[in-house]
Amino acid sequence: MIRRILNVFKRDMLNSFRDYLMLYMFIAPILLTIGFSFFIPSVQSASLQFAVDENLDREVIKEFEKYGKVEKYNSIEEIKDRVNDVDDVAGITKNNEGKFQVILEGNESHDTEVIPQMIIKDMMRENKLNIDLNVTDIGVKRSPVALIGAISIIQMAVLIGGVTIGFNIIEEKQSNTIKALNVTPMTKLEFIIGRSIVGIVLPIIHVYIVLWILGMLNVNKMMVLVMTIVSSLIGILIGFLIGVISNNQITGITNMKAVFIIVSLSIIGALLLPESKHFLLYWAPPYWSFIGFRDILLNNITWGQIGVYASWILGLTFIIFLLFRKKISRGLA
Amino acid sequence: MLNRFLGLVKKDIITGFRNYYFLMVIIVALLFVGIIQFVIPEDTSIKPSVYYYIDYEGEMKAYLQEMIGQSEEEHDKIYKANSREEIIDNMKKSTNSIGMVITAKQGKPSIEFILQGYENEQVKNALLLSMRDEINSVFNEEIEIDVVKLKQGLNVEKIPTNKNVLPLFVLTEPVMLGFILIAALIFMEKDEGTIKAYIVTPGRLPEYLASKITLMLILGIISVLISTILVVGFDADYVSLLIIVILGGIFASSLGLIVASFFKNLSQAMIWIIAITLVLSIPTVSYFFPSFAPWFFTILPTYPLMFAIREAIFQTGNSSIIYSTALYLLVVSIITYGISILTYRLHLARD
Repeated sequence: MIRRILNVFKRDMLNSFRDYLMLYMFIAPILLTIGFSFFIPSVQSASLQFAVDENLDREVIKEFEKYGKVEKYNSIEEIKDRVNDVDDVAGITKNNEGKFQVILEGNESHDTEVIPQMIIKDMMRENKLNIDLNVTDIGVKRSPVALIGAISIIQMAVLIGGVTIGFNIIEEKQSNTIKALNVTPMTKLEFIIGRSIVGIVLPIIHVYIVLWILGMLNVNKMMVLVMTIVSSLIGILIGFLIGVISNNQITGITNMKAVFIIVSLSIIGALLLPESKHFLLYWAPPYWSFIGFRDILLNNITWGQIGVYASWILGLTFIIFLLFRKKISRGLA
Repeated sequence: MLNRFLGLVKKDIITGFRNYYFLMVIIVALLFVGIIQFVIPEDTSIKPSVYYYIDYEGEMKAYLQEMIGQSEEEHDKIYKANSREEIIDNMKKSTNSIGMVITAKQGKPSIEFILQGYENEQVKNALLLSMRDEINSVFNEEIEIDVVKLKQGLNVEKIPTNKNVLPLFVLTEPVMLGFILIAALIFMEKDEGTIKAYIVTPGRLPEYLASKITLMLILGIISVLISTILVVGFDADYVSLLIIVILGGIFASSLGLIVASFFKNLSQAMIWIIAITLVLSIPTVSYFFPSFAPWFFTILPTYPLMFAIREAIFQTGNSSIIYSTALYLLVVSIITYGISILTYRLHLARD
C-alpha cells in the first residue's frame, strides 16, 4: 500500500517537474516574499506627506520632517499639481501676507487635513502650556503590516499546494487518466494520500523560507510546524473539492474564486471585527489558521492554545470532508 | 472584417455560455453584494482602540475628562481601564491599540502614551502634537490658519464601510476577471486545436484576440452593473464607470493573453496568474491609507484605476481623475493588446 501511495507521489512529482510546475509552485511564494520584504521598510517610514515650498525657512521644513515625508517644490503651481494627485498630500507655503497657508485638494483624510494646521499652530504659539507628555511602549517591534503580509503569504503558500492538486485532478479527469487508475489495484484512499503529500511537504518548506526571508524565525519553530501541517490539510481539502466538483478548468476557476473569497473574508474579518464578534468566523478553518499564525509570530501563544486552534481546524476540515465524502468518492470515479 | 469579428464574438459568447461563464459571473457578483449588504458592518473602522486610565485628582481633572468624553463621541473604540496593567493586558491582545495613562507629577498632570513599539518617530510625534494642540487650544487663544481647498464643493461625505468596499470588488472582479478567464478560454481552445484551425482560415489574429477580449468585457459589464445597481442603486455615474471598466478590462484581458501565451496549460499558468493578481492588488492598501502611496504602488495601473472607480461610483465632483485615468488606461491597453498580438504571432509560429 505504501508503495502504491509513493508511486502516486512519484508520478505527480515527475509530471510536475516535466512541466516546470513544481518549480513555479516552489518559487512563486518565495518571489512574493522577497518583493514584500522590500516593501516593509517603506510601510514603517512615512505616515503623512507634505508638499512644502522650498523657500520656507529650513527650520520650518525640519519641523514638518518630524511628522511625515516632505517633498520640496519651488513654485506654488508645482505644489498645487502635487496636491491634486490621487494620493493624500498637504501643500505648505506662505500667502501674500506672509502667513502660513495649507493647500488641500478637498477630499483628504482627517489627519492630512488637520495635522499640518496643528504643526503650524505649534510653531506659532508663544506661551505653551507645560504638561508632561511622554511615550513608552510594550515592546512589539513587528508592525501589523509585516505580520499580516507574512501570514497572507503563508496562507497563499498553503493554498497553492491545494489548488495545484485540484487542477491536476481536473486535467486527469479530462484526459481520462483517473478512469485508467480506477481499474488498477489502487484504492481511492491511497490515491488521495499520494496526491496530498505534495500539499503538505511544500507548505512546510515554504513557511520556514518565508519566515527566514522576513527575519521572523525567532519564534517557536515546533509550533510553526504543527500549525503548518494542520493548515495544509485545509489547502488539500479545498484542492480535492475544487478537483472533484469542477468538470472543467473554467468551473475550477469559479470554484477557486468562491473559495478565495471565503478565505480572504475570514482573514479580513479577523482583522476588522472586534474580538467580541469573532465567534461569527468560528466556522471557517482559515480563520483558526490565521489567528494561530498571528499569535505564534507575536510569541503570544501557549501549546494549549495551539491544541485548541488545531482541534478546530482538524474538526472543521473533517466535518467538511464528511459532508463532501460521497462527492469526492464519486468525483474520483 | 467586421462580419468576421462579429461571427467570432458570437462563437465566443456561445462558448462562454456553454461553459457557465455568464452564470459564474452573476453568482460571484450576487455573492459579493450579499457580503456587502449583510456581512460587513456599516461602521467598521481601522482606527486603533484606545485604552485609558486616569489616576490624577488635580484641578485639570474635569477638563481632561471632558476631553476624553468628546473623543468618545467621535471615536467608538475608546475604553476606560482600571489600572496601567489592565491597559497593557488589553493592548497585548490587539496589535492595533494604544494606551493612555494620566497621573499626577508634582501636582501637574503627566500623560503617558503607551504604544505597541513598532510605531515610527513620526507617528509618535504626531500623537504628542495632537495632544499638545488639544490642551493648548483650550488655554490659549485659537490661531486661525489659512487653508485653501483647490477643489471647492467636493462632496466628501463619509461612505459607509461596507459600501466603500464596492470599488475594490469592481476592480478585482469586473475589471480583472478577464485576466484569469481569458487564459482559461485560450487553453481550452489550444487543447481543442481551435487556434491552429483558425490560422489557416482568412481570419486574422488581432480579430481572434479582440473577440476573446470582447467576451470578457461583456462579462465585466454584466458584473459591474449587477453589483453597483444592487449596492448603490442608480446614484453612480454609470457612463464613466463603464468607460473605466471597459478600458481596465481590455488591459487585464490582454495581460492575461500575454501571460497565457508563455505556458502550455492552465495549471502551469495558474500560479503566475495568482502571483500577478496579488501584485496588482497591492495598491488596495492605499485605498484604506490614502497618504501611503510609495512609487511602486503608483506605477501599477490598478492604483489610479481603483480611485477612478470610486469616483465614478461615489461622485465627489473630482472628475479630472476619471479623465486622466481613462486616458492612461487607453494608452496602457493599446500597448498590452499590441504585445499580446506579438506574443501570439511568435508562439504560434514556434508551435
